[in-house]
Amino acid sequence: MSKYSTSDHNRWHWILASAAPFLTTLICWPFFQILPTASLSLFYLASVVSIAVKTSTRPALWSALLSFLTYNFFFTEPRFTLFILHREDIITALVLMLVALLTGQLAARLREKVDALERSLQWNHDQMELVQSLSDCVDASELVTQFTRLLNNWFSQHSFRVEVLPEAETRKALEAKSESLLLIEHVDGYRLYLCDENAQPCGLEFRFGADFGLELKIQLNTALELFKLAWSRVLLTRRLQHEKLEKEREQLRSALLSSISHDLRTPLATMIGSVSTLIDLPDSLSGGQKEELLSNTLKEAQRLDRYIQKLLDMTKIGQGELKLERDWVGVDEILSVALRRLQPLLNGQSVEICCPSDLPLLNVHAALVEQAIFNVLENAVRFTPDGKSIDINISVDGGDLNIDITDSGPGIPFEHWPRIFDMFFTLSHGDQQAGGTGLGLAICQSVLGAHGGEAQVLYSEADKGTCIRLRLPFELTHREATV
Amino acid sequence: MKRILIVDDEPQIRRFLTISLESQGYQIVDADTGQKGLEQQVLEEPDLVILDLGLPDMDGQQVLKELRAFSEVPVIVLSVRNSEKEKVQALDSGANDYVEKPFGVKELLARVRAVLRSNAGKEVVPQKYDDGHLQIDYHLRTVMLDSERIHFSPREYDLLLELAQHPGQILTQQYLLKKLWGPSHLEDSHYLRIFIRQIRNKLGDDPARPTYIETEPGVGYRFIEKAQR
Repeated sequence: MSKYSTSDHNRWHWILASAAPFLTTLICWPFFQILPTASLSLFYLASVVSIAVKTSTRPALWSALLSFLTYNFFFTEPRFTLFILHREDIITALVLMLVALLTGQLAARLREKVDALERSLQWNHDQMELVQSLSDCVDASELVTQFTRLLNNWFSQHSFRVEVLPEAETRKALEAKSESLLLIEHVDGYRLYLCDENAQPCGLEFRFGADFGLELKIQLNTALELFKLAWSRVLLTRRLQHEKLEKEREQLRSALLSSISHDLRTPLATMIGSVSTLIDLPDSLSGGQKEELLSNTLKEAQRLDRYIQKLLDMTKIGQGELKLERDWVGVDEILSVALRRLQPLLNGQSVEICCPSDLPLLNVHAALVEQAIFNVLENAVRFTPDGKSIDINISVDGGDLNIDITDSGPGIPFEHWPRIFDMFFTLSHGDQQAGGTGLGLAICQSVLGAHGGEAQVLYSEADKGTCIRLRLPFELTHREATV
Repeated sequence: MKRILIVDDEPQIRRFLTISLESQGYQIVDADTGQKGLEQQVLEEPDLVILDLGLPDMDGQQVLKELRAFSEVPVIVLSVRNSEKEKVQALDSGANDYVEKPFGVKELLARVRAVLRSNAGKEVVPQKYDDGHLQIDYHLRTVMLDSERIHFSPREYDLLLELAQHPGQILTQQYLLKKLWGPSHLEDSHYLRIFIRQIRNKLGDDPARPTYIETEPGVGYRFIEKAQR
């Protein structure tokens, strides 16, 4: 740690201490005729005091000795000899030495204190830096990298280096003590063994040479302690995150199970009931009744199919397998597929489309976006009474495409707006018919999110219906080639 | 009487297909594995094959490839939803069309008719297309919409002709690009998009609710049959 060094300017101290008496002699020379000889010693005194303040004890003493000799040689009678004739000159010289000794020591002690204070400030600052950069780390490997980098940086002036230990050795050392973090002191350094959140062992060796003083060792120890703290924090955060995820997954699983048991069994019950009626009571049914039972069976089967499609989509999204296969496609073309699929679901409702011509193309995964639009439309159909209309309004806003789908339903209470895109959230009041799976809008949101867009409730009122806006960015505007 | 070979491992699906297709006057041969399907193709020489892509013994795509090695019989594949890749791959390997599972019988019959018709019509090319609104005269290369002549550029006309001569059938982007622009333009699907847009504009066709040209995003285009409108 070069910045904590005390001996860097030592050579300069001695040079300064040696040069000062001669400089003082030069200054005193013109005054020799004017002032009494004894007064000149005050100049030397001043020079010695300032050297003592600027340097440390020993250079100050050396400077005092040199001052005494030059003063004696150049100014006391007989001049240009080292003899001293007058007794008061001897006293002057002795006082000079004494003062130099005292002030030198005082000044040097002060300086050392200031130096120590500076070093400790620097050290505090470095510790802060260490703590801060370690607390920014989110996983174990990042922590180790960051720590190694900082240590190498600090001790770059000394014979210090960090080495990665072989994995087998680390594993053995950790297993011997059955701990997840182990610090062992060696003659020439420390060995740190740890195993991260994925039980992956990682070993570091901190080697240092003979010049690595006690102070540096203490600093290294402190850094290691800080590292240990950061380490346990990272592990703890990880564990908490993991537990939270587990809990959420568990909740989802139970919600999924209850949804499956309800949404699979309702259509199945209708189908089994209808078909068994047809088989067991063929003679007592009129032609119209038979047809109704059959078409009910078909409708329920189709509903089941849509539900299973959503479950499949959801599983893909949940497992992160939503791989986008983007291609250029017109929104009107996507819409046409969604409308084609919607046709059998319409029950006297009409669908009105308002779509400007010459829209730029979208670069999206067409089948997924179609499913997202279809899910919203399916919802809209469910809540729109017979004879009313569902409006689709397409507009461009900056770099985004907005698809606004408005139903003529009973509306959603304001407090539920943000939650309707949550998985398994269904409104049990306010809708005339049940039958929602609580998956459709969640899938829609996930699909749009994967494309960098989003779904939101634009407005929802009892007399105006609900308007859901699907926003999709155009991303790269399609370069229409000249053909 | 046309003979149809059904290759599917689900007995219920084979049964339902047999009943519905026999009721329409087709003769049915079936197989529950890919291997048996190929054998039946050699033995029975059917006029059409309905092939499920998910078979227990071998991949449906593989069956398709081996079938195409020795036979030109039209093939309709049964695929799952949301799998453009699978559909495109099957069409590239020589399938003539696809139906998404689960499907209604109406949809399947329409595809069967369209594929059989286009295969039978190879010898006799009709002279014109006429549905009461739109008339295309293949001989004079003219297009009339509600008795009004509409100007089409040669390439627009060629594209419309290609589509109209295969009513109800899927034509892949690759196929159309190769046919109209040549094999060096297989990646330039935007050409196709621009031309389809122009044709739709001229025919007054709403892309969101098409009367004539239907888009199957990621796969290709289909000229809607008169009966389906």
